[in-house]
Amino acid sequence: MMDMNAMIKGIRLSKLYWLSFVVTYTYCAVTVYLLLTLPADYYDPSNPQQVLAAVKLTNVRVIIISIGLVIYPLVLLLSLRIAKYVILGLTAWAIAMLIDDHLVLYEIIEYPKRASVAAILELRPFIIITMVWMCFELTFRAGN
Amino acid sequence: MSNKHINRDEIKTILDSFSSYQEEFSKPSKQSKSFKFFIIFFNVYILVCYISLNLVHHGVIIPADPTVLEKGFLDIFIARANGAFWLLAAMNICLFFNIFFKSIVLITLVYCVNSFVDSFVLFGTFVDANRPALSVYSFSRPFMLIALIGLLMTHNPPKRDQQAN
Repeated sequence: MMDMNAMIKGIRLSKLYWLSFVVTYTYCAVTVYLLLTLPADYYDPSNPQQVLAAVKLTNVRVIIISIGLVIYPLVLLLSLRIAKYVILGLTAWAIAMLIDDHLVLYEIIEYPKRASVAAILELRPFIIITMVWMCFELTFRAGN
Repeated sequence: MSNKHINRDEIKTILDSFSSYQEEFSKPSKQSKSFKFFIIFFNVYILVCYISLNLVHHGVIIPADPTVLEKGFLDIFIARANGAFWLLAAMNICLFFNIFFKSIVLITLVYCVNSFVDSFVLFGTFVDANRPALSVYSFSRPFMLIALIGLLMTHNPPKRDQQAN
């Protein structure tokens, strides 16, 4: 327990970083929970192909988010240098997903038009900003 | 009363203090032959894809494999090729100025893996005897990923980064 406290104190990062971390982590945990407990009747049955594509993509993304949720805190405790590359990769992936959904796959997939799902999708740019902040902090502040 | 204007000697001193910094940024670091091979391969691959897809899109080239034009495949390929093209430009700029090269390669690798996974999940492997163009595209994608991993492994960072570590 003492070792764990010493490790956390040893990570010298700003309060804004920890705020970004908590916001991102909470968002991801809530997203995973919502997607796993999403009722089948939320999907629009009139577009079966688009719904199937959305379900397939969502399953893959939930798996990757879950892996990120488990791995990132551990990596942060072990090494800031590796944590920088992990958060950089996850941020790039989040941006790639957003660009993909808006520019590439918008005709192929259709997400449920419910408030909870819409909230998750609309909050994505803000979460990406917090992730980009974490990248900058780990690149420029933690390295010094 | 003191003279608030800076004289010629002082201007020269200020400019000289930045000259070494400029040299450090503009001087390319020495890279291995394998790195040069990977960077040339990646540049050629992305540019060939980008140019050929745009030529097909504008009707200059009519594909032998008509399925390329079906199901909105071409729109997806062009959108992805555009993304890869801008990342390639950023990568070359970062390599020239010796800053954040590994970060931009990592971002490109994540972008390509995401595209690869999304396409695989949505459309399958594309490998089909009746779709030669899509099959060639599918078979060549792992080589692109290998080239990106090779760039990450073989990049020789500039001296200032080695000193910082």
